[in-house]
Order: sequence, then structure tokens, then C-alpha cells
Amino acid sequence: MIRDMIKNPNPILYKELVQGMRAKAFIGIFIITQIVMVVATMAIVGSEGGSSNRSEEFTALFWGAIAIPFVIFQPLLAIESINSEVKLKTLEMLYLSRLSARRIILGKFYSHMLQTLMIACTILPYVVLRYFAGGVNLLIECSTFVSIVLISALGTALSVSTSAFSVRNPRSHRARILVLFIVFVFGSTTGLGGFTAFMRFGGGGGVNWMDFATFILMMPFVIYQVLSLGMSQVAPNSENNLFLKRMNCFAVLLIYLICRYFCDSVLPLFPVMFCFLMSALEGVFSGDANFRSSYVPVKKYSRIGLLVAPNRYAYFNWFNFAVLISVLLMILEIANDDLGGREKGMLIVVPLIVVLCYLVQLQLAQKEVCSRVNNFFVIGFVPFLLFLGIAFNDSLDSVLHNDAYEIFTICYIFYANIMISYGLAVQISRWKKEKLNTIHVVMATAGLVIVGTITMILKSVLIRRWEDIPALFPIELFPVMLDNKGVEGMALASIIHLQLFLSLLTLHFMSSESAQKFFQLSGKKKESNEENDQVLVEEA
Amino acid sequence: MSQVMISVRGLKRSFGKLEAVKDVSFDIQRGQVVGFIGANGAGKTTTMRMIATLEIPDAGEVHICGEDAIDDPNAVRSKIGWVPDEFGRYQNMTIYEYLDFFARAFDYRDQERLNRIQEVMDFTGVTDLKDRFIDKLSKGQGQRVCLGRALLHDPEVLLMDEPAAGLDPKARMELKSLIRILAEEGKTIFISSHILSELSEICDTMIFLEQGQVLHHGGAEELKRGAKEGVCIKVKVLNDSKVLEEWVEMNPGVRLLYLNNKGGRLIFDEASDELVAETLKRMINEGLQVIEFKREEKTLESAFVDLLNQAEDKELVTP
Repeated sequence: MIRDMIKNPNPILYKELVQGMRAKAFIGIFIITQIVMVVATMAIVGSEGGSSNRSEEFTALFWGAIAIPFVIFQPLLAIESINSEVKLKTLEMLYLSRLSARRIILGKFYSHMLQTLMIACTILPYVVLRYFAGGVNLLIECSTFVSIVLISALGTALSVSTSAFSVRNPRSHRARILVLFIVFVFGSTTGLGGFTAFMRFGGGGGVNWMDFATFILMMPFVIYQVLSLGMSQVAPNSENNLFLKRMNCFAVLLIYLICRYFCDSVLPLFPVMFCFLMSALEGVFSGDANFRSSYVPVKKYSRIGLLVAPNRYAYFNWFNFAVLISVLLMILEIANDDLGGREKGMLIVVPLIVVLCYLVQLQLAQKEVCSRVNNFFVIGFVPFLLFLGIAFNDSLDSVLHNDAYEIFTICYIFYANIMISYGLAVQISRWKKEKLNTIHVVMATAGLVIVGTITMILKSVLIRRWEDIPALFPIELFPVMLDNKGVEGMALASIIHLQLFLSLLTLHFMSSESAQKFFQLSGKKKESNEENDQVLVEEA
Repeated sequence: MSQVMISVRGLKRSFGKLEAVKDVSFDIQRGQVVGFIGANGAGKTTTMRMIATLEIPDAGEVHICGEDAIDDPNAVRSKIGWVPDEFGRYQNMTIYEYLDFFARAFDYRDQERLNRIQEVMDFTGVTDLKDRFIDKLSKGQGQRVCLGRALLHDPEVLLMDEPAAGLDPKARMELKSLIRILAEEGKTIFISSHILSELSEICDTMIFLEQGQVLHHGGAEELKRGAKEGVCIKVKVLNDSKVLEEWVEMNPGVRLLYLNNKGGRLIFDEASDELVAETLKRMINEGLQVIEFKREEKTLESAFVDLLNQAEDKELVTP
């Protein structure tokens, strides 16, 4: 099998390597990396006869120099991967070969990663040189190196997936490049710095190897989840990517739940939240075909197939997924002998909530428009269950003030805002008897901000204590509280609302239908085709 | 026994308020070369893209070799070769590498892949150019490579969207000869083009599309002879042309289109060859000194324009 894989690799990987190795960008990055490494190594070895390897500043400089091409330049190269196929009009030819969207996206990703690994191999001599200069903890160096490559892989996956949005919305490609550049420069380097600092100083002064192992285990699934976002954009409507995506989310959650028994850190919760949030947003903003595709493989089984058709009882949707999670959590918690009476009581309450939500979602699912909101609602329920799972492990009182609660709260507010905005936008589009467009989204978000502000003002007038005004207006609508109040809280609220608005707008632009409506791409394409036709008829 | 290779039933597709394809139905038999003709925005490309599984119709069915293009597009894709109007050219890739890539994508492996690439290069005549970069090829060479790519998996149906557009006369001739060879091999070929004279030379039947609806589906000869509106005959007589006029008045089923000094043009209500022969015989028997009796064929372009006019007239009459 391995021999076959080497002899007959993914065709896209073959093509990309043929093209990529001749491209100037790859050669440029390769040369820049070598220059940076030579300078960094000379600086380290040359200063104080190599003893400075013990200095954290020089270590940071060395790995920071390595991180720049890996975390910024290499991922940014991948931003053109699908977009170039769209520009060259070659994507349709790929569809009509036997390449699935999964193979197209994975092939693009593998080729970029292979190029990254090639550059990684060339920096190994410098790492070895540093080791021989002395004062280097080999395990920490190796873990940092692996972390950089994995973060680079995540960035590359993000780039490839983002590039795939060009299939349905080619006009916003430049905006996406800009957003990704900012994310890579500020997000990845900060994240990497935070991560390496945690690796070195967290966990009681030493490396927290359990967290590192969790990180390593989760990363491939998180990367696949990011890539699957691109697959949905590229996928011809016949492909069913939903099942794999859901199973992938389930795998990430499973790893998290298993690792929770071995470490107390909440850090692994971030990738889980990331996967769920991304899938939740995709569930809302992806085209109808992505919903319909789940049904295609089972259609041929007639009546039995109908049971798993959309909105039927056995349909494998997010709610069933949430049920699975809750059952899993319950099994884990029942196995925990330290549970008090209150927690055991919750074990009865959770299934009741599950059944109630199931009935609600079935009612919502009867309407086509609601099915997306419904999906979102169900996905939003998953972190709630996660939160309950965390709560069972610790006492509820302490959980209310720990990091997990903060993460949950932020996610919940984020979910709630987007869900309400989207629901309102759909409602506005119905009132106006138009298909959902950007104007509706702007109106909905603006409406939400105005209503929230009026609520805050009214409340402040009533209670006459400005310092008690809750900073984030969603708390008027949702039972969550944050500690930020007063002017500082209001500033924070403004920033969060701006972020929410921009996120929603960006995501809305990325969605296929709205982008087509907004830019009227199909209409303009048709016009240009007609002009060409006219010329040809005249020639004839 | 004939086998339906492409079956289209009640195909509809709208883009917003614009109905690009209204109700298109037709069947294409194995081994036929079918021309697909239509005016600007008639819905040709949209229909072809739906047949090629690149668009999902709002309503209707498409079957290729019995496989459903909507429910099972992957099965259909293995049976069709798609030659688009614009050939996307990868950078930094030679013709051989390009064909090798698609051969891999079509799951050809090892020696079988190499053999298949060689066969296709020989057929399309690009073997000598195999080390040239595809973004440096001329339009004609590029079209041959594109055809080669479409033939790699030996499809039963070939869909060609404006294949001759932008080609010089030599490249057009080459393409036409390749299409002829493929048709002789039994491939079903569906070509959309505006170059009507070329289509008439290579196509067995033609489908005329107007405003998303099929206006005519039949042979080019049938269309040119004006089958639906009768046959036009140019007649010259030695007698006074008034004799011809009188003869026409006496014979139902024949109308006089116009008269000149030496004869005129007659329109027959029916298009059968037997009627034309019988009429000539009668003219001579009844004393007309016929010196010329020539059947006038329409050019394909004028037939096409007539069809469009007929459709417009119908639209005007229909309340």
C-alpha cells in the first residue's frame, strides 16, 4: 500500500509539486530562510562563546526566526491554491476527472506541507549546531520544532480552505488575503509565543507533556476540520462531506474527554471549541446542497433510507450528535465515584433537556429556513453539554469562576449574537419578500445594537446606578454574566459588538448565495458570455 | 440497435428572474454527431453544463448512457469528455506532465497510464510538442491538448462547447478531421457552435435552441430544404412566363413566389421528392417548355434565421 502511494501519489500532489518546485516563491522563501538561519545561528554562537544558549532571549530569537517563514510565508503561499484554479478555469476539469473535493483539497495541502517539510529539513543542521554549542534542552527544542510545523500546517490548512471560497465568491479574494495576513502575523506568532511559553514555564515550572500530547493528538483532526471547510466550498453537490466532518468533530471531542482524565488544563478545550464553532457557522452559511447531500447515499434504500432523510427521526444531524455527546458525558460521569447528590441530579436533568430540545428542533426543522437556525441551535447546545461535563468534574461554585466558564461564556455570547442576527435577517428578508442579502444582515445587526443600547439606557434610568449597568447587552437576553461593568465594560461591549458585526458580515459575504446575489455574479457572467456569442455569430 | 446516449427531459434552469432554460427535451443516439445551435443567451451553455453535471437543473432529468446526471453525477462523469470553450492552462507544466496529471486523476496506473498518454498524444498529434509548456501553446495546439485530455478516459460521449471558436482555418480543419474520426469510432459527440456551415458538414442532426426552448431537432439537409414550409423551385421556361402563372393557378399545392420574364420561383406545400418529380412531369406533359428546374436550398444560416423569425411570429400571434 505504501509502495502504491509513493508510485501513484494523489494526482493533485503530483501536479502541485511539479508546478511548485519551479515556482519562484518557493525558491525565494528557501533562500530567505537560509539567510535568516545563518544570521541567527551566528548571533547565538558568536555571543559569549555559545554560553548564551541558556539565555531565553536568544532561544526566542532563534525559534522566532524559524517561525516567520513557517507560520507566515508558507501558509500565505497556499492562499492562491484553489483561487488559481478558479482564475484559470481549470477547476471544472478537475471536477470532471475522478478527483473528489476531498482529494483536491488534501492534495493542495499535502503539497504545501511537503514544501514546508523540505525547508524544515534544511534548518535541522542549524538546530544541531546549536545543540553542540551546549545548554539546549533537546526535548523542549524538539517539541517547539514540532509545534511550529503543526501551527504552520494549521495556517496552511486555513489558507487552502479560505482560498476555496473563491469558487463561489471570487471577488473578495484580496480581502481574504488581507484578513489572513493579519491573522498569521498577529495571531499565529502570538499563539506560538504563548504556546512555547506555556511549554517552558507552565505546569509547575516544567513542560506539561500531557497537554503537549493532547495538542499533538488533536491537531490532525483540527486541521482536517479546517480543510473540510474548503472541501464544502469546492465539493460538487454530489459529494457528502457532512458525515466525515461530524465524525471528525466527534473524534476531537473524544480525545478531549479522554485527555481530561489525565490533565487538568483547559487548554485542549480551545481546539474543541474551534472545531464546533467553525462547523456551527458553516452549518448556517453553507448552501442548501450541503444539507441535501447527506440524504443522497441513503436514497436508494427506499423506506429505510427515508428514515434518515433530512428532518426525519433517524437523520444524523447535530442534535443526534449532541445526544451522543451527552450520553458519553454521562457514562464518564457515572464512572466518577466522587459525584455528589446535586451532580447526580443533573444527570437526570440533562436527558430531559435533550429530549425537550429534540422536540423543539423537530418542530423548527419543518420549515426550510429554520433548519439552518435549528442546526445552529443544536450546535450551540454542544458547548453547553461540555460545560456541564466540566461542571461535574469540579464543584459548580468553583467552575463559575474558572477559565472554562469564561470560554463557555464567550462562545455562548458569540453564538447567541450571530444566531439572533441571522434569525432577524431571515425575518427581515421574509417581510420584504426578498432573498436574503447583505442589506438585511446590516439591518438586523444594527437593529440588535440599537435595541441593546436602548435596553441599557432604560435600565440605567430605572436603577439610577450607572456603575451597575451590565456591559454586554446580551446578558439582558441570556443568563450569563461577565464581571466587566461601567465605562470599561461599555468600551469592551462596543469592541465585541463591532467584532461580531464584522465577523457576521465577513461570513455572510463568504456564503455562496448571498455573495452571488450581492455581486450579481451570474448575471454579469452571462452578459459577458452573450457579448462573446455576439462576436462569434457576426464572424459566422 | 440504436441506443439513447443522451436523454434530456423537461430541463429547466433559472438564474434569479431570468429563465435561461425553459423546457428542453431531446434524445441523442449512439454514434451521432449533434450540433447545438442557438442565438445569444438561448441557453446552450447552461444546457451543456447541466448535461456535463456542472450545474444542477431546477427541474427535469438528464440521463447519460442510462445514468442519472443529477442523482449520480460521478457515474456520468466517467462516461463524458468535456471540452470547454476556454482551455485553462497551468503554468510551469509541459504537455506530457499535463496529460500525465489527468491520467493519474482518471486512475490510470503504471504502464497502462504511460500507454494511454502515448495513444492520446499520437491521436491528437502533439507527441512532438510533449516537452513544451502548455501556457506557451497556440490556440489550436491548446485545443488539441484539451481534446486529448477529454479523451484520456475513453469516454462514450464527448461534449464540446464552442470548440472551433478562435481557431485559424488550418486548426479548424484539423479539429474537424479529429471529430470525424471519433464519430467513426462510435463516439457520441454533442457540439455547441456558432459556425453553422462547419456544423452542417460534420453533424448528423442539429438542435436549434431559442429562449431556452428547442425550436428544431433534425437533420441539416431537412432544415436547409425548408421541410416545414415546403420546397422552393426555380423554374425557367421558353414560353411566356404568364403561361407559368396560369399553370400555377390551375394546380393546387403549388404557389408562385415571384415571376420574371423567363420564369419564376415556385413553392410547394409539401416537401416530398416524389411530388417535385411528379410536378415536373406534369409541367412538361401540359405543354410548358421547361429549360431549367432547380431545387433551391437554403443556407444553414438563412434556415436558422427563418426559424427564429417563425418563433417570433408565433410569439406575436400568441396572446
